[in-house]
Amino acid sequence: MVIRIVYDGPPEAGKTTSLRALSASLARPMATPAETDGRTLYFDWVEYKGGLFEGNQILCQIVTVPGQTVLAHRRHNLLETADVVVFVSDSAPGAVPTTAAYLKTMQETLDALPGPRVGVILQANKRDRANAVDLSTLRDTAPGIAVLESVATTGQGVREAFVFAVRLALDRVRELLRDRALRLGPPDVQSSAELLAQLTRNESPEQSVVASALQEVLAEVAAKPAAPPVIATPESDAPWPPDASVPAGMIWPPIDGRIALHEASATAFTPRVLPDGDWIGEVPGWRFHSPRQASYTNAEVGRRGLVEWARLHAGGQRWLSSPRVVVLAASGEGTWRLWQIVKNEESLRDVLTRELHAGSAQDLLRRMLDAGRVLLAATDSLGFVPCRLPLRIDTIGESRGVPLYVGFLPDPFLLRPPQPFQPEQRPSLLRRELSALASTALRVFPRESFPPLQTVLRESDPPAVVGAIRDVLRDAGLSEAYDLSATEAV
Amino acid sequence: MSTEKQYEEMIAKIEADMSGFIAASVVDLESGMTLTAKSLRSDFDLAVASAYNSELVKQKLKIMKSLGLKTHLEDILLTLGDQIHLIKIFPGGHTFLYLAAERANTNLAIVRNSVNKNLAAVI
Repeated sequence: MVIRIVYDGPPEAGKTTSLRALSASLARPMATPAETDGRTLYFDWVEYKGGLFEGNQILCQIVTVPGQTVLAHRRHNLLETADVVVFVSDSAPGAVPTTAAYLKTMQETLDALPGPRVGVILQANKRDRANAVDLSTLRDTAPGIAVLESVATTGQGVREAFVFAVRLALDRVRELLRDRALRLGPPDVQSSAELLAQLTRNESPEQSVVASALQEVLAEVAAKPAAPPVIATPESDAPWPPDASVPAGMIWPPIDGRIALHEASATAFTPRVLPDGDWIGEVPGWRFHSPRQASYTNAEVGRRGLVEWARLHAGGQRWLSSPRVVVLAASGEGTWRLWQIVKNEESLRDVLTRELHAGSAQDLLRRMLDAGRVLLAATDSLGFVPCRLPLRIDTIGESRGVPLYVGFLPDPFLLRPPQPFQPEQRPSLLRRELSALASTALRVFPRESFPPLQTVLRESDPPAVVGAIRDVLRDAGLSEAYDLSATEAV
Repeated sequence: MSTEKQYEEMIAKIEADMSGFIAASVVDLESGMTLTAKSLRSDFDLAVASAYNSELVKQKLKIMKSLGLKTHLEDILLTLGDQIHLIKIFPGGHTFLYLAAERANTNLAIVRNSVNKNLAAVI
């Protein structure tokens, strides 16, 4: 009894690493017909004899597909031979859209196959990531598919996923037996060499050319010397950016912080200076910030700043976006610099202006009301953070309706005590922040497209927010569109 | 489902607890695939033994069903000339532990006690 288990998934999700772990766990060798710089070009192959089905020994042909888009034809051909698919996904939040896209194309391929349904399990890999998405997110991405967790680099969960996949494959074989559709006799392909020959035979000349070109590019990249470390000698007087090699005791939080910093510093950047002298850096998904004064010739003084910031972060954790890292890193010429690194989260401005042109004036009014509600809530909750924070549409975001501070914390040596917002200060704050937004966003739509405000109001909209927005609209010259008495009635 | 590592640790503890340990594996009943396996003898093919023992358990379950027995299968003991084989079905009935030990160096009570004691860690 031969079953084919195909490991599918986006590039670098951990298919080959999973198979390598499985090959070690099953004590079976792994064959890779062609590989460049660790990237699979055809497939990886492990053969394992184990288990029994209806008295027959089971021979598992376990193969991975190449993940690169230009090799989609090979992926497609391999998927068509599957008795079961183990879809390996990366657990990073940014990888979810790619996972969804690859799942879709996989499902389309499988749906077109004749015979009983090919089972699929989602092996949620890289679960050791500090920012791994919830399993529920992955389940939503792959409805109706079993989700199993793994850390392929350590082998954790890989064998369980494999055994689960065998079960699903046997379910399919049982169905084939019931339908008398099970092919008897030796399989078409009995070794990795035969599978390679079959794949090559099935490729059109154009597909071969594309694959060869990719192989050459990858080989060229692999032949180049490794990029210099991130903290290379700076080209200007810019401080060295921090990286995950900072000594113990110079990073907060100690373990998760180093893992996060490892991820954040994977992309090299040169800090740039702001008009006020602060240093900032931006890489995909992360922002770095170091106040102008946060440079120390004495590491011990810098460490005091680190401790202050760590206390501040720990004390305000509930109201701050996460993950956040504080690090004291060598900045060149024997000096140290304190950095805070924050994972990018949407601010209220981002939410308000996201796909603004695709929406309507009505959507914009609704978003402004929601933003006002969050800002109003932030005037209460941010009073609990043990220092004063700037309350702006650029520094406040939200998570499930709860306000979160998404900006940077102030210099640890220039902290001001928190100052509770007085009720009478709130309208002016709302007007100021919503006006800042209105100056550009309200001009996106023609004046006549704005509906009366009362048509977008909900009972839960706080009167202070409704009043502030009415003022903002009036200032923008849109007041005549509203029946104020009707608004107040709501 | 417990992890491969937990099963490995359980088998290591069982091995440390008793004398005469030859081999052990945790087996998926449905497929006969091993979830983990450890053998002190190179001539003891655990993958094959585990697979055939899964058939043994399935047959016994069929017999129980045919007899209309309203109970569950706890373990199966096989006494060979020089070995004891114990099959301990895990709660839920999807997985079992298969253990082989030298009869000259241990006895059923020791084997059962060690297995039951260490099984608790993974269920």
